[in-house]
Amino acid sequence: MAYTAVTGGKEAIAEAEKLTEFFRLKDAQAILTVGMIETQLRLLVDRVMGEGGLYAPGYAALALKQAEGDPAEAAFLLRAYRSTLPRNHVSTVIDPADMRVLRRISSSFRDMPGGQVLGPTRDYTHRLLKFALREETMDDAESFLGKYREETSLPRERPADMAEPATDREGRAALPAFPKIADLLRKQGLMKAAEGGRAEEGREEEPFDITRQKLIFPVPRSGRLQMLARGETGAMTALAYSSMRGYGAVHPTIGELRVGYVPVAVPYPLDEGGARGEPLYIGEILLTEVETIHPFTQNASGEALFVPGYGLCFGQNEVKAISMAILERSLETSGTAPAQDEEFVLLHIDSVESNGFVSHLKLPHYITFQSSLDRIRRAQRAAGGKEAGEGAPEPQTGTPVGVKTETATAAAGKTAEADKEALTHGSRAD
Amino acid sequence: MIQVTEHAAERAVPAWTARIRADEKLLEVRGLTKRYGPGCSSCHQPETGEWHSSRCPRCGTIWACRSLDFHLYPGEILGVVGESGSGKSTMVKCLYFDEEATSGEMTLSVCPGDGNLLQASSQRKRYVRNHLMGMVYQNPYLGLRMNFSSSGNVAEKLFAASQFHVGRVRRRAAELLERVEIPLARMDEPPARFSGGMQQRVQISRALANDPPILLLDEVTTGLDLSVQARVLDLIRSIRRELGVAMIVVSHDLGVIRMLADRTMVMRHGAIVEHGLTDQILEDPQHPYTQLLVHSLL
Amino acid sequence: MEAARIEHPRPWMNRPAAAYNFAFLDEGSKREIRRKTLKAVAIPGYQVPFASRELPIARGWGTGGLQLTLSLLGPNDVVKVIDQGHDDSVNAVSIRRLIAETSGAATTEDTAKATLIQSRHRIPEERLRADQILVLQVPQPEPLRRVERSERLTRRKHAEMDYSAMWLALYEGIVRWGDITLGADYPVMVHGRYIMAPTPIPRWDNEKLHQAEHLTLFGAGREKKIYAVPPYTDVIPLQFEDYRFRKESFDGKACRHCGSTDTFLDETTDEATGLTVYQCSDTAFCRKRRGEELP
Repeated sequence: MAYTAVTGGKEAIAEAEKLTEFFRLKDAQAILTVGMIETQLRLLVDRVMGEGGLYAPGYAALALKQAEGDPAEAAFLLRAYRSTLPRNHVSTVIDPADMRVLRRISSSFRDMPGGQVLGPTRDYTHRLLKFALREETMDDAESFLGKYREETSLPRERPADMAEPATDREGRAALPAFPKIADLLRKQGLMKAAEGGRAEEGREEEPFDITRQKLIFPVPRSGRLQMLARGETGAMTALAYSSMRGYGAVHPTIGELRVGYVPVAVPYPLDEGGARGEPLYIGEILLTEVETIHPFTQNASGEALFVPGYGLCFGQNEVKAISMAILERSLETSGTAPAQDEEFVLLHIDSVESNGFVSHLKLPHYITFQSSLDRIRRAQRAAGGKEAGEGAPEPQTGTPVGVKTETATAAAGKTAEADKEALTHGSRAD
Repeated sequence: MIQVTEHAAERAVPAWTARIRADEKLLEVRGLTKRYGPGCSSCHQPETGEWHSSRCPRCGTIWACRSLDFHLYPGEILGVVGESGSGKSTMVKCLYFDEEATSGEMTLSVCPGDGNLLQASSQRKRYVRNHLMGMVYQNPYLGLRMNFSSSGNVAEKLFAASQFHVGRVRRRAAELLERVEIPLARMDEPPARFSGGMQQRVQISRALANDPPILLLDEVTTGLDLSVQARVLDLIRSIRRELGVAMIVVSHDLGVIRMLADRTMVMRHGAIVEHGLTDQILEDPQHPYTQLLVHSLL
Repeated sequence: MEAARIEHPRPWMNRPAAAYNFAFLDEGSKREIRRKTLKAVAIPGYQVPFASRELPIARGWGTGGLQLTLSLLGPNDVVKVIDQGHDDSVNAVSIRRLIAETSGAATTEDTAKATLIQSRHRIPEERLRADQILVLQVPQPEPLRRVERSERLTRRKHAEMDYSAMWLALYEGIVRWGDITLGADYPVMVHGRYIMAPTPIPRWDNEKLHQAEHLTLFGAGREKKIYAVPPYTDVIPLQFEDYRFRKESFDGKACRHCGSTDTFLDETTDEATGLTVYQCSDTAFCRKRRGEELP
């Protein structure tokens, strides 16, 4: 079998780029602005921020525009951009208990302090295509918005800084309180204390940083959570699903799901010698946080406790946060299910890596193939020398302890695959 | 095509034979303890006394092995009998470094300079596993690579001992497999296709690949048909006769112990409750538990 | 009439973007990569984990090699980039462009003129000198991955020099097919201590690593490992005493352009005649042999 080497690469790439741009624009009826994507496709923007690992809604929207809506490509763009950014500050630990809640529900309790707040959700909508949206105009939008604002007494004008509402202390105090359900359970002694968190004040250890250190297994919990927090939504959902369906051990209820804005602060930059001044508030980020409750277990002193699972991601991405909580708990259990295998889960949920490596098969692999050709031709020649029969060889005692003779063509094709199969499924024997 | 035409006429005698004296203990174990769990004040000083179970009622810690002391002379077979949960399998796994012992000492006369092997470096432990001890598991899936050739299973041990000549490796593998009565024509078949008895025999040949002075056998005949069991037991005895290998044979079946072991120790709830010559133990058991076992012998 | 540009509601979104650093990566990242590289050079064949950065090129497409090149690059370097032996291959072109655009470094197709050579799947035919560095792109840095899935266990096997499973893999090939069956990416023993994956270079190129005058660096971006073969290091392909390592054979074949019988050849079909013909995989070398001046 013959194959050709690729030449004229430079020109081909240049033309391909132009063609891509052509496809992006040729049927445009009006230019899609970055602002439009950010405001009217916010859930896609949230997903891309979460998978790119960079909270920057404007850039995520830009990436989506550039990538013609491909979320994997957009996440890649964001991640690559992140590589170029210097790290100037590290924020103080954020506390989702301080969240300015948009949505907050629990499947474990009917009623709790703060109550069930459905917030903006499609969970209870009927998935019927709204054909009327084809004719939507800006006037329709304004008219709906105007009426809604009146009904709900929201301020008529958008603040100058989009999505930056009243954030002063008084403003926050005026909001209803939503204490964490997990905290309530802990106070009642029903849930394991948080590890290395608020429960152990003053003994905080430096979290692992997956962007500065390579993961080494077994991974510390902070490393696991980071990998999950920027994992690909689809991959994580599939694995969490497998865990729930019986390929695993995890059957939780959602203790609490909350979506809202959490304030971010940095230590005062001009602090010298650790004088602990007020941290500087720098803004809010939208987060989805899920805490699941798993069947109780016995701890070292024999007490029965609920065990938590934790999920947190950028933006409003509920299925990812729930999946993350399930996977986090699943990785703490031992067993043979794929979702319990730390290396399997953590190494295969990163969108940039999985998409990159799967796509790399499109690169030339002529050398690898040529080398295999050499082997198979040699094997065929060798087989041609002896009787190449079908099926198992005749057993012969005493004389040459021979080699199995399958027909070389079928054989050589299978060899690499079969060997690999055998090796990785071989036992632990040594 | 790879020929194996005749067995090696002269094979080098293993190096350890020179260092062995028949009257010196080959293996000595002192205070071997294996604990699962943190332990607590009430269970932390495990006496070798009588317990009702291996589990501490206060903290739930399992004391699988409690301060075991025993030894093995060259060429002798030590039987270890006990019921499930007695700790006998855990003990053997600690000796083979499959499990990490919580405390205790293990020394081999063939490597006196190493001191306590339970605390040796992982490289040293690997050397011991490859050259000085062979292990045969109850479940052949633990001891063999099921989808590799049987000769390959033996060869892997030889590679671990830096034997890198395929012809010589295959000769040795053929010799060993023939010794355990695996037909030469099947030496390249994967053990997955063999019967249970044959799989155990492949395990034995693999364990013997580098001529270790000690063989550990963990319930190797459990689950096999009686006639197959008999064949494997005969094989084990003939190996001891011809090669002078010392063995620790673990079984819950006193009948197997009776057939093979020179000396026996009885384990219960992690401790040794009785030990001595096999004949004496069978004829005149002292400990009530041993009496129970002996009387239950069919 | 041109429509007014719709400004983004947030004012800073409308400012022009900042320029990228020299060679794209920030200096801190480059320094970290160089430190890890030094460690790799100090332990020939050992895979040093590093915090691989994402780049504008996809994972699996050469980000490891690229991070090495970018961290070593200075304004006076001359860079050659090849894939499958060709300078003109699409991926090589793409990588070379990224390097040139983010650093302004000079590029060349002439192996002899390059100071840094980044390559996928081949080592150039021309013997490299002590002042040259070869950077190879690595898809799978772990040679034991063929026999062990788990990263935790392969690390331990390397630490304890527990390689019997690798030898077993070679043995099984011999038993089944009469010879070792591994093709490209043939495992080698470096400095008598670590088994290393030389990347999917053909077996033909393995010997170029042995006792070379130049430094060879290996970068796996996705798997986040860097390893190295320093100059004058023993690199021996795994082989048995009675089943030796064998290169690919080109007996009876020659390059249709330069007539070479001692280079690795690509197989192709002549468009006019429909016959199978062969030509040098290292296209720059072939052209040089034919007396061409290379850019």
